[in-house]
Amino acid sequence: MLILGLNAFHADASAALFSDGELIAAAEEERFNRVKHASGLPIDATRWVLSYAGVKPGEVDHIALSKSPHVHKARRAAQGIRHTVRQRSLPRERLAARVRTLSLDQELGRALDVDLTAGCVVHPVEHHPSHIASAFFASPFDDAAVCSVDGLGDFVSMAWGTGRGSRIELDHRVFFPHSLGFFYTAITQYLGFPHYGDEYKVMGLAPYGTPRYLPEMRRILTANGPDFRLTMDFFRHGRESIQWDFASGSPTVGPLFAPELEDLLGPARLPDEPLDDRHRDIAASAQARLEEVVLPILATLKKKTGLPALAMAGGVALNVTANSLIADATGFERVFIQPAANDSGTSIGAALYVAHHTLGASRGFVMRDVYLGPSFTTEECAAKLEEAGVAYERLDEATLCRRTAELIANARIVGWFQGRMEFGPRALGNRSIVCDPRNPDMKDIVNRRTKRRESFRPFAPSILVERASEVYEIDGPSPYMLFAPRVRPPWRDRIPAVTHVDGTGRIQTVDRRSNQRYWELIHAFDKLTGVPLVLNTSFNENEPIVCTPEEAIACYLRADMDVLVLEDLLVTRRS
Amino acid sequence: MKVVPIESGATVFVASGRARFSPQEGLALPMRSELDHLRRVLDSCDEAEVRRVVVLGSSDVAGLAETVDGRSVQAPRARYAEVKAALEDECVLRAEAGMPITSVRLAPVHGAGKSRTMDLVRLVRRRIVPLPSGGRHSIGFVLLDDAIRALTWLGQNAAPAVVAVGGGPTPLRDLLDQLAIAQGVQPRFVPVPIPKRGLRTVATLPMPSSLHWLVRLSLPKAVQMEVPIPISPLREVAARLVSAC
Repeated sequence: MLILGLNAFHADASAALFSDGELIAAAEEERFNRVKHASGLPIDATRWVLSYAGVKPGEVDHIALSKSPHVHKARRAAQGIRHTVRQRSLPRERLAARVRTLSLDQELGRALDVDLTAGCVVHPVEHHPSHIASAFFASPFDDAAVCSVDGLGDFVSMAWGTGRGSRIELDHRVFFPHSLGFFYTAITQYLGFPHYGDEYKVMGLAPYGTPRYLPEMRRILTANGPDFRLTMDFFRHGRESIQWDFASGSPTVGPLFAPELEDLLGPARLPDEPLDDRHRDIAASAQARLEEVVLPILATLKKKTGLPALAMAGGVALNVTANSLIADATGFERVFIQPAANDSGTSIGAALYVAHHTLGASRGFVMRDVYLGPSFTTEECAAKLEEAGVAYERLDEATLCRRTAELIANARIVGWFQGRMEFGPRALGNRSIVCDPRNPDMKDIVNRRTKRRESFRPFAPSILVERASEVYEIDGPSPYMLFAPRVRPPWRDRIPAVTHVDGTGRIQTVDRRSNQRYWELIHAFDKLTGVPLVLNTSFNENEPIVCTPEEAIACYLRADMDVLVLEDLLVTRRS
Repeated sequence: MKVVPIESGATVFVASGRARFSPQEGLALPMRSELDHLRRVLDSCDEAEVRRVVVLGSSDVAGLAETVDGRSVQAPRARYAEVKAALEDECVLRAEAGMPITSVRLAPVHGAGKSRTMDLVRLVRRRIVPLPSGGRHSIGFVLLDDAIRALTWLGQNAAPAVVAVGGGPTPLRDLLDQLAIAQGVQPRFVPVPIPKRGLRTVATLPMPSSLHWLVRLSLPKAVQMEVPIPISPLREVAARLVSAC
């Protein structure tokens, strides 16, 4: 049975293909059309997952779409009426989005040149159950408390309940306009980061400040037990039309914060304005408030379900600082967060939801890694290097890893391109830029020279899983950069480039079984230096992570990297 | 606002927050102005290394909670209470940072010059007094004299970051009985059954302040006295309220 999961008309549009319960391929549209967080219909990603599996579009049995126009109709209608009365105009954008979703199968059929209505069932799956399915049905848990938190999807911003076997039962939903995601996005926009997906910048900025605006944040986002509310004085989305475009291309969300937020916190920062202490303190306060609200909700969920495990997804689940507090603050003994916790993961989730919850298939799939995208052979890479006129050396694996490790230890910035591309927002050793974590200047060098991004943003380490607990205060593996444990004191000065100002590191533990070559590289670096980790950041420069060798070569040349490794090929500036 | 220099080792009482805000003002500006003012005062207190700071807050931060103490969850229902809750949070942050500060969840104060006291005393002068739910529920208030004694104690002694100062449980019927005795009148009390849930909804609606007061009188509320001072007996309270009017 073939199930095609799609995240369409949301940000991070994506496609995932399951064959008889196994995840064959998954990719985000942005990696193909090169538009960051691309929304709309994931045509190129769909074409690719089908071609990778050798499947024709007409052979797909089920299409699972992580969006349903058929849920919460009364609330949507009421909001539509409120909008119409207040604005004295129809909510045209919302109506158009609804029409698009309803005719998705036709549009997709046209794009793929096939009649999807014949022999294929299209299942609209509500957004948050899709998120939850992406976590629970991909987790190793038979039973778990489940939760999803994001900005908004199908009129809901948060949902929680229980997953048991092949069923998910939701006990509670938080509806528009109240949203933890919108709270964080509004503060992100207020702090002068206007682009979709900039929230992680606020998370990175927060440890530089002190939460002295917490009293204000508590009034902006109020909480009472397991419920929270936005004080709508400070937000625009509940009372007026917000620019909101997920139809195609780069997603746009207009300013969510109202002028009253500036009355309360002072003038908003303009994007090119320097960051000062007030901005840092506001970021710290927003982060502290998010944690104050989310963690008690999860603690309540633990108490209500009595289950030891938690499966979680949604954009807010990418907040590693909050994630790192879950175990201590809530009592959950085991936590699985979908590595593609943002909307991209809902393509996987919708497909899993249809397979298990809708069709009743028994579970067997556990997500063990995220290497689900395209790969290229050494020969293909060599051809592209030759086309670009770039000289290279071809090496066996042991030599390649040793030579690359030596270059890293000599302060070189290395573009590392191997195997299948990662699915989800993180580069986890197949489309990564790696460098020396011991060099105190490396963070600034990479931020300024290669990534051309804000200096405060931290870098993450990739560490041999066997040595992780020696360097970090962590007990088990953390393969997806979803938690930020504290660096053990003896190591803090040894790895300054990957130790954030608050003494934590957003680690990726690397297991030899899931990524052997990356493990070998770090192992070689460890043998040379005694440090079992490297600095890892995504292979890109203000663009989607590279997908193909051409993109990797272009990025290498443009972003002033020292070394490029494409499969078995080593390229250095000198060569 | 300019803060006059505070003497080193002084005890500082901060009465901040306007009793009412106009709806046109919204929430943001009053909150910002109140927080700015409080922060400036507290910064000055910090510099002067004062002995203790006592900030007058409000039991309204606990919203419609039936029993209010220093640990009651914040659930403000009115803008005034929202601002008070923000000020209380600021005090808690300062206390966590080591400042010897207490924010007081003060019950509505009754005493000389208070219009709400006049309303209550006049109420029993009527021949027929409707009693919501039979008046068996407690109403939350504190006598001015008791409040002053409690605040004075807090200025001299270490206390938690948030404490409640109220008259404890005071059944409405008992209070009205005592007010009637103190005035030498004999009104007829007529119980009016009111569903509590409906009243709670009504309490959240905008209404004239006189009506708001009556609605509040109908809702059960007891603000605890968390300061070790004796609370004046009800008979004495009634006598003082009558003499104050």
